[in-house]
This record gives sequence, C-alpha cells and structure tokens, in this order.
Amino acid sequence: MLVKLKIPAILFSSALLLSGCGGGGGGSSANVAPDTQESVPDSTPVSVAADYRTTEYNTQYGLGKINADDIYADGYSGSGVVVGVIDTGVDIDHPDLVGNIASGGYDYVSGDTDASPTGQGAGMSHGTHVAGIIAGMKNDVGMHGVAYSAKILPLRAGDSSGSFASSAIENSIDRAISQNAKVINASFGGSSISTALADKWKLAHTNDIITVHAAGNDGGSNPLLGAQLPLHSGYEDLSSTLIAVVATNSSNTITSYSNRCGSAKNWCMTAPGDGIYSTVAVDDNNYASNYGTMSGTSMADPHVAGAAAVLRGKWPSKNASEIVTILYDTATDLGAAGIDDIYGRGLLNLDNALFAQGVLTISTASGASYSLADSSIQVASNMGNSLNGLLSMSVFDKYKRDYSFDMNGVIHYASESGLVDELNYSDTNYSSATDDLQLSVNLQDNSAKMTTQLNEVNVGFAHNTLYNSENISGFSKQYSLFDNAYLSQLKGSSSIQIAKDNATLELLSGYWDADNEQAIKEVGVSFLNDFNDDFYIKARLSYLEEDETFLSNYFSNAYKTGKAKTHALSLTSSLKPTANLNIIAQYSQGNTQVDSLSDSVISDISLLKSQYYSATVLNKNVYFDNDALFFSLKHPLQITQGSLNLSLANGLNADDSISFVDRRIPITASALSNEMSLGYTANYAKNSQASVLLNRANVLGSSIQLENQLMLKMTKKF
Amino acid sequence: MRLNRSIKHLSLIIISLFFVACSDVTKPIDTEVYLPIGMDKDGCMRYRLKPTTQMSAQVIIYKSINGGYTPNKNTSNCR
Repeated sequence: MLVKLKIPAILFSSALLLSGCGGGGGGSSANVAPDTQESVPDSTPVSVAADYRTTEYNTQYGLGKINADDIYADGYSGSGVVVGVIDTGVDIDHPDLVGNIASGGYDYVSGDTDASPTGQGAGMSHGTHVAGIIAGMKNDVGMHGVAYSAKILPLRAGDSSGSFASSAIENSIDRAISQNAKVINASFGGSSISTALADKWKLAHTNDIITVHAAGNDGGSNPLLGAQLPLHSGYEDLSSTLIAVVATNSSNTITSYSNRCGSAKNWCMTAPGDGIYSTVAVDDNNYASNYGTMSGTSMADPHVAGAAAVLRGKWPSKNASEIVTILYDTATDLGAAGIDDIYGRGLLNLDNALFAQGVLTISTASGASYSLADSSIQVASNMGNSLNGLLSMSVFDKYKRDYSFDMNGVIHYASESGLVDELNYSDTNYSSATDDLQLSVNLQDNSAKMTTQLNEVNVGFAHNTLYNSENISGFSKQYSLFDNAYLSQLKGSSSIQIAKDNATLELLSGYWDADNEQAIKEVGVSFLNDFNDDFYIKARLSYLEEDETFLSNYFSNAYKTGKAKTHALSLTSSLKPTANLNIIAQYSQGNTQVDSLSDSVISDISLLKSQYYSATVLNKNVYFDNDALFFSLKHPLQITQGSLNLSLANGLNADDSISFVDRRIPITASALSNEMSLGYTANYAKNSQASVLLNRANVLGSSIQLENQLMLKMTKKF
Repeated sequence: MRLNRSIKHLSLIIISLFFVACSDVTKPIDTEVYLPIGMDKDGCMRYRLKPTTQMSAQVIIYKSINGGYTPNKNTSNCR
C-alpha cells in the first residue's frame, strides 16, 4: 500500500490530487503538468595525479570535474567495496564491467539471478550506464568509473522502460544489505514513496550503508521524495547517510532539468550529470557501440556513489555517516556562499576529500592527542643523527583519518656555535682583583664571575659562565681550556661555589634555551690533587637534573619526556712542563636515567651512557708577548649507549581505534667524529689583535658532515 | 421530480468531470508516460519518464527517429 509521508504541502500537491482522483492505491500522478523549466592501497602508489589523466579518464569528463586523479595517484579506487546498483539491470558481460561485477546480484523484475537488462526500451541501458560511471574498469578501453576497483552488485528493480516497482526496490535493498554493500546507488525516484520502502531505506541506514539518490529531472526547486526522507518524522537520522544529488553540466552549472537541492540542501550535493559517457548494454539498439552518453540526475548520482566507494575503500574503519560528512565538507562551494538551495553542499571534490582537513594531531597509546605543529624534537649533538630516517607514523585529521607522516620533519638539530659566532667575538673582559675579591665581567656574552674569601673559604658567584672554564685570550668560551661537557650548551645560568682547600662544592641553575624554559640544575663536588706546582688532577662528581630535557635534547608535547637525572664523573689533568706551556686532558662519563611519561609517544628511554674527552696544548709567548698558540683534539659529548622506545600510531583498526606499534631506536651518536682546532692569536699592536683558527668540526643535520673551517680575524679597538 | 432530475444531471456532470480530470489514471498501472521538459541548447525536446504509479529512472530521454524514445541523443529525431 502506498502512503504519503508528511511533507510540506507544496511538495505534495500532486499526491493530494491523486488521492482525490485515484480511488486509493495511487501514489504518483500523471496529471502533473511538466515543469518547463584502504588500509592498504588498491595499487602501489607509483606516480603523480597527471599519470592518471589518461584517455579513459578524459573521455568521461565527469572524472576531471570531481578531481578524481589525486586519490588514484594515492593508490585508492574503491577496492574491497561493494556498491549496490538498484536499477534496470547491468550488462554483467560488458567488457568494461565484467571484471567488476560482484556475485550475488538478482533480477527482481524477472525473478532470477541474472540481473542483466532485457527488452529494448529507453531504460534498457540505464543501469549499465550507471554501473559504468561507478566502476567501469580501468583497462585502457572506453572509459573508467570513479571507483574503478570497486565491485558492482547488480540489482534489477526496473524494467527496460525505466519503471521501478516499489517491492522490487525493497527486495533489492534487503539483498544489498545481505551482500555487504557499503553504498547503494538509487538513480530513480518518484513523487511518492511507500512506508515499506521508506523503512527499507532506514534499514540500509542502520546497516551503515550510504544511499545516494538522484534528485530528479523535474527542474523543480526540491528533490524527489526518496531524497527528502529525512524531512519526515521517524526518518530524520537518514540525513547522515542519505545523499541527494543534483546535476551540473560541464561548466559546473546546474542543468535546467535538474531538481534543486531545496529543502534537502543539508544532505544534498551536485555532480556532473549532463552528457556523461559510459557503458551501455551491448545489445541495446539505442546505441551503435558499447558506450554512449546519457544525461540526468541519474548520471550525477553514480559519481557520488563512486566517490563514496573510493573513500570507504581508503578508510574502511569510517562509518557511513563519517564518509558522508567528509564528502559534504570537502565539496567545492557553488552558487551562493555556503549551503544553498540550488547546489546544497556544493560540487563533489574527491581531491579535497583525500587530503587531510583541519589540525593534524599525534595520538599516543594512552589516548592523549597533540597538535602535530606544536610537537618537535630538538636534537643535541650528543645524539648525533641517530633518529634520522628511522620513523614514520600515522597522524590524524579532524575526521580521525590517518595519514603517514615522516618524523624527520619534526627533528631539528641544535646549531652549534660556528665560526661566524667566533668571528663576531671579541674580548671585552674587564677584571679587577684585590686580596679578597676577584671580579671579571665579559660584556660580549653577558657573563660575570666573582670570588671572595671569607675566612678560609672561597665563595663565588658566576652568571652565564662556569667556574672551571678558562678562555684562551682572543677566543670565545667555546675554546676554553677547561670544559664541563654536560653543561657546555647552557644558554643561561647562575651558580654559586664554595671552596675550601682543594674541595669545591658548586650549585648551578640554568637553562638550555634562550627562553628560560628548559631548566637544568646541577650539584657538583670536585677534589683537586696537587702533585706539584706544575701538575694536578681534579675529579668532579656531578648530579644534573633536567625537567623536560635529557642531556639538552628537547622532546616537546607529543614526544615529551620526564625528568632526567644524570650522574657524571669528570677527570681533568693539567701539566705545565714550562712556564708557557700547558697541557690539559679531560675525560667525562655519565649515566642518565630519564623518566617516561604515559601520555607521550616516547614510551620508554633506557639508561643512557655518555662520554666526552679532549686534550689541549697551549703555548703562550711563542712569537710575541701574550700571543697564544693552541691545538685541541676533542670528542664531543656522545651518547654511547641507550635507546628510545616509541609507541607510534600505525593506522586504524577495523573498529576505528588507533593501532600502535612499538619501535625501539638506538640513539647512540656513532657518527660523531673527533674534532680538531688549531688556533693562534697575537696582540701585534696596541688594541690590535689578529687571530687565525683552523677547525675540523662535526656539522649536524640529517647526516653528519665533518667540515674544515678557516677563520682569519683582525680586530682593532678604538 | 425536477429537483431529482437536476440532481441526476448534476451528478452525471460531476462524475464526467471527475473522469475527464483523472483520465490519465485510467491507463494501465505501468503505462509509460513521457513528459516533455523543454528544449536543450540544440533545440531537441527533452522528456522524462513518468510511470503512472511507479518510480522511474531519472534520465533525460529524446524522441527517436523511429517514433519511440531513447536516452541517446545521437539517435533522436532532432539529429
């Protein structure tokens, strides 16, 4: 029995007239005056979009209008997705369809399993044409469909004239559900719909099927009733999975015959429907070949159905509603800005639908989510380039679609002080000393050091410098005689020192960064053993605590690490064979324990072992008074043992939850080489200084380069 | 009597009008009706299928050379 659904009166004028005339039963009227008006890619991505603009592609101009080529280049074309085509039958032996026909089709007109069209009529090839638009094969013959790797489930519910019986449609929907179709194409419609059929569409909705409905060719301001189901009480939910499709021409303008989106504008979009070239039944007398053109919203409809199939193939864990939302949100706006009465959501745009939308996020195994743009890794030289080239992970857009992301894009390598900085350096030391107070200030690097003696205890304060460093005249602290390898990259610090006899206690608070956010605290105790006036050995025990970094490596937000605790031992020996010659050797070794955080991609960090060593020979007064010649050999602080464990998002599971894989990455800086420096500086005249520096240094990046550097500098102070 | 005759006449007129107005629905249920929906840019009259009781394929149709209907404009009578 046909019943009328409650819809706005203007839409139902024809049905009401029929009620008066027809003696029941009728649902449509002949009296209406004509209106004059993946996931796995389907194929290995091998090339760019242009490679997919083949003759087949260009022959069906609709493919270009919906920008289908990009998603093909990405490797997706509907593989694994079954599209139910409820129509006038599909020529399942058509050479451009035969490979894409799913088993399980049925002919509800003739009542058999052969869903091929029979009988010559204007509608004979309708279903074959629609099927070709959806999934015509990509075989360098004729044309290909939007989802050329999808499978067509042919369900014949219309006869060769193009008339569809409601009961046949209902049976077809049932079969589409039982055959696991993910999309149903409905290139038919009328001015009434039975409750039984409406309920079947609702059943498709509850079975997570996208149903795509032709808006109709009345040139009216609203789609046909099937496309308006969500307007009716009890069927509102269908708006999330039911798409009404109006037809545009090759100029992206609505065709004169197409119904407009009107009251269905929120679940309506447009696609090419005018003069579409596709497959036709081989024995259709209306056509001289196996292909031909047709026009109508019937032809626009399968473009959207095919696009839905492609997206369902690419993101199989997404439900029907989510895929439909993506299609809507990524459509190209046509007509009045925003959702409008003519084009609804706009023109189908597969290119837009492919690409990530909104803010990309990184997800952790604990369920935390971070902005990709706000998460980065700043690698210090002690890790070398150990992270390079190792990792990719899934990041997610606002629809929680997964995209592969190369983590190398978030790795930043610490810039070491190069020779440019050295070139800009000049000694601006001011110092004064009395018996009780020693003070030195360097305006160049805003550092100051002060010591005073209280009874037999030396008390000192240092700002932006280290007590145990001693610059070589004319060179920056990068070339100091003594170094604390674990603190050499400090950008700012304050420390106090208490020394008595040969024992020293030092407390330091500093930052790795100029913004004073990456904090470090250090407690150091050192003991010096004078063997004689010319030779001593100093041992230093340090405890360093970093809040957000480890050994000055900074992993932010999604990669964040917890507190790092380092215990280090440094040995320094100094020998002065002559009054002008000084030989210094240093060796440092440390163990670092880093707390892992549950809401971080970095799920665990093993115990890190690190070491540093250097040797410097300094000779003063070589050619002139107060000149200096030095040679140093240094192996930068290097992590020699340790690894990170990362829990990386790796796509989506079938239930749309995020899949994670664990990756353990060694972070030993094995590629670091010894660095060498040879320098000479002389005050050749009053206030005039000349410096020469030859360097062989590691330059950090995605690969570590050993670079030779030369600096010549002459300065004169006025 | 006159009144009864007038009522009879009036009833006949109403019934006749009713049948005239609803003449299309007297066709067999599945009769195909092709409704003209205007000319295209080449001056070809376009039709759409309008079955009396059922839903229909939403494709544009042309009159064919042999007097029937076809979705193929190339075989229509205006080519």
